[in-house]
Amino acid sequence: MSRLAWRSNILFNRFLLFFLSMLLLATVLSGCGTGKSVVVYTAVDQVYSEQLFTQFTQETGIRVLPVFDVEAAKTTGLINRIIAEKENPQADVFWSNEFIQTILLQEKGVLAPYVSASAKDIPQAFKEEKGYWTGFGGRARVLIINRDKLSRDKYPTSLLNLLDSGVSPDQIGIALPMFGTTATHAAALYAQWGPEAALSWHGTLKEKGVRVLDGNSVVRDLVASGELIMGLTDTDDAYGAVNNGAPVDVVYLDQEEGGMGTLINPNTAALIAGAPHPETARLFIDWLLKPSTEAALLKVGFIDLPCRDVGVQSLNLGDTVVKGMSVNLAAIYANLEVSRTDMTELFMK
Amino acid sequence: MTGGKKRNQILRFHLPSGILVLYTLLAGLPLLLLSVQAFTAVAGGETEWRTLVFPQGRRLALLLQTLGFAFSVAIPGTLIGFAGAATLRFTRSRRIRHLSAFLIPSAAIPPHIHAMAWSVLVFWINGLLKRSGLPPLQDQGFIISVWVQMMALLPFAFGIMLLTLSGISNDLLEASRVTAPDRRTILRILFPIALPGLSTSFSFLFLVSLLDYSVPSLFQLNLYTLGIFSEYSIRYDASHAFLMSVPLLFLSLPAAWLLQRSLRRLPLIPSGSGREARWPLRLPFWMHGLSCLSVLLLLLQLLVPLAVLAVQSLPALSSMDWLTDSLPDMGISLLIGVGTAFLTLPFAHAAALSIDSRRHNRHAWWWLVMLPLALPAPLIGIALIHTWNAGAFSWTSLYNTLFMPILACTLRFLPFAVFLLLSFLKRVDRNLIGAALILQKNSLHTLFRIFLPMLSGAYLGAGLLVAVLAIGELGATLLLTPPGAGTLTLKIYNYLHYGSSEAVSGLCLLLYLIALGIGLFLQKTATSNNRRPA
Repeated sequence: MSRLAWRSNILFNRFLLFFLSMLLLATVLSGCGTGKSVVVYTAVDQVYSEQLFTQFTQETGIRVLPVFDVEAAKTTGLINRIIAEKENPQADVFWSNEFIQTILLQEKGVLAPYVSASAKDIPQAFKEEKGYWTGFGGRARVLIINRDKLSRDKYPTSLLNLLDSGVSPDQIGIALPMFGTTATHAAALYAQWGPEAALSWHGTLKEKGVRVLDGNSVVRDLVASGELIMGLTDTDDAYGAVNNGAPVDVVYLDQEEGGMGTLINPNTAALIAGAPHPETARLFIDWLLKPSTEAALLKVGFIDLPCRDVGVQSLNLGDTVVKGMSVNLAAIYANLEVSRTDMTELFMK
Repeated sequence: MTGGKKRNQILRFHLPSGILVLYTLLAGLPLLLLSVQAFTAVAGGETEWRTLVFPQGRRLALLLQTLGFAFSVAIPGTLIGFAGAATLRFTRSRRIRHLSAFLIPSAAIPPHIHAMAWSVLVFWINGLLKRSGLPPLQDQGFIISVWVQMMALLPFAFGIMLLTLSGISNDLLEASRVTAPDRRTILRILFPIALPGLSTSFSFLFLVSLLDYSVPSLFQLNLYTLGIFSEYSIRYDASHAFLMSVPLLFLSLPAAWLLQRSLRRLPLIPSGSGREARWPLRLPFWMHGLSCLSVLLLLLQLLVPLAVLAVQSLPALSSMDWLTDSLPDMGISLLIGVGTAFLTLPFAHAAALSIDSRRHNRHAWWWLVMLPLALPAPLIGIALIHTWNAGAFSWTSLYNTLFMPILACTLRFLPFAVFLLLSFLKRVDRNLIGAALILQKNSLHTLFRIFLPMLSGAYLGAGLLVAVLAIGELGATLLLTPPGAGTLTLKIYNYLHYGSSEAVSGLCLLLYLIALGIGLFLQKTATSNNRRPA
């Protein structure tokens, strides 16, 4: 046998064998399924939402085909995708862990109205008046503090005295305020304090050298590891560190008498206009907005603040009452563009 | 013309051209549509386009910072790659030479994981320094961003330089060593011949650093690409983002031009004369130091993520739920990897043949293949959605299938496969092909009995390389995976956000070991390819 023919036999066989076995393995591992389904695009953490999808499938027999977002893409990957797919929608339901992006989708004409019967006991403040989206169970904006690094008597109580605790500003972290819930928080402060005061407060943070990080989870991780002493994040991130045994405390700011309260960010569910599976989409939204589903999210600790009485206490909060900011969701959204532009000007240098 | 000649014409020219026309449709059309959308917006009264295309003030400062960052990564990265690859190439130690098997697996580790590993290491070191009363290392900002980015890209620099140096004939070097000391051989012979390789490595590292903000943003270094993302998040307007990308294109297109020009000039010779050196090169002190430092850095690049991942994943071994939960994602990742390899290879084959030919259109093919390298991944994803979901190709119903992430990965990683095939193609002994052409029954006979067997190692390498890169891809995959089909990389990033660092480390370690297995398989195959049959 010639050298070339020998190479041909050996290498091509190996080449084909390797790729075909990979293909077979991949097909077996990935699995397949048929039957009724609903396509859900969700920004909710996979760890939490997957449990609910499994439960929904067990109860209804409808298979959930999820698409998840990741913080590394600034949790905007799905929004980009839904807008780009507008002419030929592929998603049935958008389930978000906040409300700003959902209102943005409504403005882009991507959503369809649907008033779910399960939402009748949800307060009107959490619902879009024409039914384009419905809010439920919220997460709060909190300060996470490494208790090994700071004594309790020095814990800040308000955003306004965040820098007065004696902690060096470079030991305090926030996420980039142009993205995610930190952007929502900035817009909420614009609505609550007015643009000048809110911009000035952010300017002070920047000027004093507060660390501006890639995301809320990075803030949490650095505080949990002791690289930072404290930082602003969301309750699901903060309690994630608590439940992992990190030496951290979670502080709700501005709770004192006359205080403005903290930002409460509800989840939102919305039907996509022209959804390929509208019937199963409505069934899924009905199921998601049921009090029992909100209770399940409370039990796993993804949300802390139900929007109605669901008969279950929060895993993280117990019976503690948290005061939310009085500013309404529409006002926060109205301030988003100007606050994001300001934050980009301020922090993208 | 006889039937045989016609068939030859079809196989030698028309088939590769047909494949490349198909590629042009797949890759060019989405990008063309995006450009048309942007120009339509300008024509329709987009007033901001001048400030977007010609940045001033803050945006200009950001662009300059990005440029500085890209240079700071590319220059030392290339030099270290050169010195390290020279050591791997000319050393007589098998152990050191075996380090090259780790290049592909370490290239597959997502940059975020490098960032995580180095961040943990710096934190530990700073703890020690603090206890010793010494000033801490910088754990944020420009320097650490440059360091981590360079470490994440080092396998590519080493790989490119190793490929370049392995193409330099030992006979040439030994002839020079007879007449002059080794130092002069290196400076006057080796270095000039390796210049195209240096330029290839530099332009590649420069391009990637220019377009990827993921590592710098973790260390609080703002780059222009993050600025595009930030402004895009204000209005979600693809044409606005495209116009804002234009200044970056002004920088990335010349780099892509340099890359293609350098690639064409790589000193690649027939493999037969690449035999082992008779005696090792004697380097001057400073060069020896640099080469030792480079190998040390390569080892660090390999070991730091591995060690940190291993330590952090230990607690995860008590419960293997994270592993069983990830099996479907692993399956999807493998399908995307294998699918990308299968889709990429015909395009890469046709592109490499066309580029290697003496035809006038070879420059056009270079540009076509290299263009996606100059574009951010999410922009490629959005362009593909516009084309395949409701645009020119919606009738195919391929949107919402795994074909989409496979196509995106093919567009993104085709240049790597073409580069590898081209380098091997240039080493093919033309006399063998000439002899085969004279005696062949038809072109297929030569293609399957002579040409492909000689290049099978290169096809295998190119296929595996793009498969590994596709498994680690995030930016475009996130936008294009069909519902219900997550990938292992998406899972890793999800766990990263959840704070499950043990599961993240476990999955990354798994990814690393899979890639390592592929790397070792590749090396074993390459070795057996060089062994003659009894």
